Amino acid sequence: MIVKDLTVRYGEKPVLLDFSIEIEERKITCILGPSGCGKTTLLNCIVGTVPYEGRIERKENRIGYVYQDPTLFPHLTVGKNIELVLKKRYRDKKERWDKVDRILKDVGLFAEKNAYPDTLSGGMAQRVSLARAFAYESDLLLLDEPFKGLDISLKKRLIDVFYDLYSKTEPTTVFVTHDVEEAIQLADTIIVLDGTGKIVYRVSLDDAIHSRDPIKYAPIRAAVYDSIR
Amino acid sequence: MKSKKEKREWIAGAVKNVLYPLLALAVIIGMWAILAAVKNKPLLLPMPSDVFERFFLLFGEQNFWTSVFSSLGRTCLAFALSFIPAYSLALAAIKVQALSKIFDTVVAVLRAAPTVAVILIAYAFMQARTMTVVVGVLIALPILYSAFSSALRGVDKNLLSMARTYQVSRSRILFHAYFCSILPFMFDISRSTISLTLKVVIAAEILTLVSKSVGGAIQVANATFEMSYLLAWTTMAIVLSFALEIIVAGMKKFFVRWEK
Repeated sequence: MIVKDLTVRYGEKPVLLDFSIEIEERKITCILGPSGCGKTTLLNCIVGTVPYEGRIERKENRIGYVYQDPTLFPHLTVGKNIELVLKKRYRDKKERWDKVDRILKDVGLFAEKNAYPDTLSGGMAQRVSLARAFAYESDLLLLDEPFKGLDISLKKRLIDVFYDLYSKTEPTTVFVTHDVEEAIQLADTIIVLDGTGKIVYRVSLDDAIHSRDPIKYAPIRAAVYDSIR
Repeated sequence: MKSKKEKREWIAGAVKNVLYPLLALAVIIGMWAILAAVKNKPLLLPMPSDVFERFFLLFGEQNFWTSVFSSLGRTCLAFALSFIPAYSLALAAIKVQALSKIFDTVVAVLRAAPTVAVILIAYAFMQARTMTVVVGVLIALPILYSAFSSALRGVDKNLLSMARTYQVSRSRILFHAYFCSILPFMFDISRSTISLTLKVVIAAEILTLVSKSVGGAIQVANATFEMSYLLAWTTMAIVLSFALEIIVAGMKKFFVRWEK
């Protein structure tokens, strides 16, 4: 996916100005940056919910979006929240529900299939949101700080769930965060933006994500922190 | 078996939902009784016991049920005729800003118009029975429209963006995001608006002397200067208002099962 000369203004103030970036196919690109630098705006431009100047070229048609909040319909059960986004693709009801059952088993939430979102913990609700994105068979996956506000153990579990699901289909993924550790843990490429939305650092991480040695990545971690400062 | 904690919560709930309202009613009736005793003019202010006795006698009166159900029927009809247009107009208003400006102005005028004046003006153009429904609509519609407009404007933007991103059809977005997600609020506002509609319908019935209606009975009581009869019918109107609110609350409990 290529983003070329992207400019987004809220009123007079530009949030992104002539922003260009290339996202590798079937890789996880992590965009790091402070709050207000335009990370979420970039994702919203990609899905087309924000007007912009410039060009976004992408081959991917099926976009999955995991928000910071789980963004589930409160009146639909866990199963029905996922089923809703499959209605267009799977006309057959049985096929649709088989898909829902499979993905819920994958994320360990099959027992909660008939539960309403209000009865779930934050981590469980976010797992439903991830499950929905993968059930949809997105070929482009956008993640907007999906692990924000979760405690360390829950975050680790959720990252494992995410990576297990990701490994099955490997969709092109743009992952927005301001957490350096999350980025180093998950990304194939890290792009650091400064407060004005300019790219100040870019690095590719070659190792398989699960075998990443924290010591080996110490210099990259240091460089990322440096670029943020 | 209920645990100790559950028992405590049940008792606390019962105190909050039953005991406190009963206490408030007892205070009102107590003050009324004291005032009636001090005034000592039963023709002007009868004792609560006399009124309650008269209240129960109402059930045996000829035309009692006809009066109650005709007033309730007109209230429900006026409410239904307000609810659907109010929702449709609010939906149109959040989609088209120009419509929002037009509707907001009309609604502001309707809201500001004095109820009695509306009743008298409407009475000049139509039959009394039709007029009571129309007046109910004119009062309920602006309230429902304003409430629905703000509820629809408050629909979670991320939820809408999510649904569009996942290519959920427009009709499903309309149903799930713009209807189901505001359903709890719709019931809440309906609860207070339907009792207000009943009040307005009864007021219109009083002013235009609609026979076989709660308002008509109140007017007859007023004309014959039977204060205990008047207060008995007033109590009946309050009971009917509570009954409508309880029905709406029950409907909310039935339809909005996802709320904790």
